[in-house]
Amino acid sequence: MRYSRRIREDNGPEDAFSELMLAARPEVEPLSDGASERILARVLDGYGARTKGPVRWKWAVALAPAAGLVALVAVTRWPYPSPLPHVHAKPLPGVVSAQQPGDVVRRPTVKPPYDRPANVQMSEVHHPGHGRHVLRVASTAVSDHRNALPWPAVIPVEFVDMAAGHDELLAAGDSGVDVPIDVSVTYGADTAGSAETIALDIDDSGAVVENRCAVAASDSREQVVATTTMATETGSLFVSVERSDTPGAAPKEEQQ
Amino acid sequence: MENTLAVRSTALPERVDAEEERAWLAAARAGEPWALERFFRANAAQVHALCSRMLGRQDDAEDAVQAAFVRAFHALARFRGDSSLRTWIYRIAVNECISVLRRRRETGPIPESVATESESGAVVVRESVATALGCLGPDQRAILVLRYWEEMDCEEIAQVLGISLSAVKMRLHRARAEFKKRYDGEL
Repeated sequence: MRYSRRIREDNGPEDAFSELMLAARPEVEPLSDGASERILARVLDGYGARTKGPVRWKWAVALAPAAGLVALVAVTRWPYPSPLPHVHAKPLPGVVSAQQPGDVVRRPTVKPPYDRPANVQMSEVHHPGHGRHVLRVASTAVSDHRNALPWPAVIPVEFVDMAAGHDELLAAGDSGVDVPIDVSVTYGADTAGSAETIALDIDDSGAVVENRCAVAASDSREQVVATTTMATETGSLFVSVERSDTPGAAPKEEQQ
Repeated sequence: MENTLAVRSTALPERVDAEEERAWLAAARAGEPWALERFFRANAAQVHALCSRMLGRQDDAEDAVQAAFVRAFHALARFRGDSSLRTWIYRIAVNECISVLRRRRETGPIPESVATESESGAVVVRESVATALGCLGPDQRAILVLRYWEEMDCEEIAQVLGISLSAVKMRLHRARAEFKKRYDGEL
């Protein structure tokens, strides 16, 4: 029967359409218990699987910064020493120390191209009114190791004779006391004739007081007397020796 | 004509006690399996009948039921209670069926299973209606199925589809007109 004919025969288009559709309503098998259980199991599985997804994603997000940090450390620490120019290598352990003025401490062996000969001799600390104090070279280290030149070198120095003056000096609570230090640096022969700059840095609880003085190169042996400033009782003195690119004589400054 | 409907949907499933519904709805939102299972059992038969009539194939209907309930479980926390739960799950199921119908149109129609009927005239009518419905767009098919096979009134359809009452009436009018063209072409 055509739809238009049914419309004419029935009370109206809506009734005719309803009757036609109802007559054609498909038979639907009721959802059996087995099918219901199967679907329910799949629904709960799907619900659980989807809820696990974001959790894994959250874990990944949470661990990403840590993974990035590990990667950064790996990059900066390999190859050792760090390729970053501003990162100073750690002081090398087990270095012999100069026990008295005049002792010569040879810089520990480092791998090429950092095995340039450089003997550092630390002498004394002159403290006005407190006599002399022996310095000990605890270790040496090299900074700017990407550079083929071994310099600047950073040389940590410790006071040995603490009771003789350093602690007195500090016990006085004097902040900003001038401590003259004699530093002798012997370079290899190939550096003769070049100008060097010796900088004395005092690491004082993180605060570094820098005092630079330029020395003229005469031969392979230089001497400089510099005045540094100590503030607290850290007892660590870092002497960094930098190499200047300017050859020839530079004025020697004595600040004592 | 013999009514062969094994599941005759009388519009939306019966309402459960509102207070009781609130109690297990809170548990379902917290992901309690027993509450989710109760939600499923209370609505699965009606949702399955709807999906079967919308899609015409049992396997597609079961898949749609599964997908609809998974979506509903995940969206329970966002259910604001603007409509009843049964209207809400119906809306999800209808949307899932419409998605299936759209994918089916993209990949080509799949012959729907038409129950055998001893009366040849009824078979012709049923097949013609099924064919005409299959030629309609998913939205038009959905609104006709909801109105005439699920026996919802226009207000219920508006709630399920999330559209206004006037929009329901307009869509019904257009769907009927389109169906008429297809149906007459089949005869």
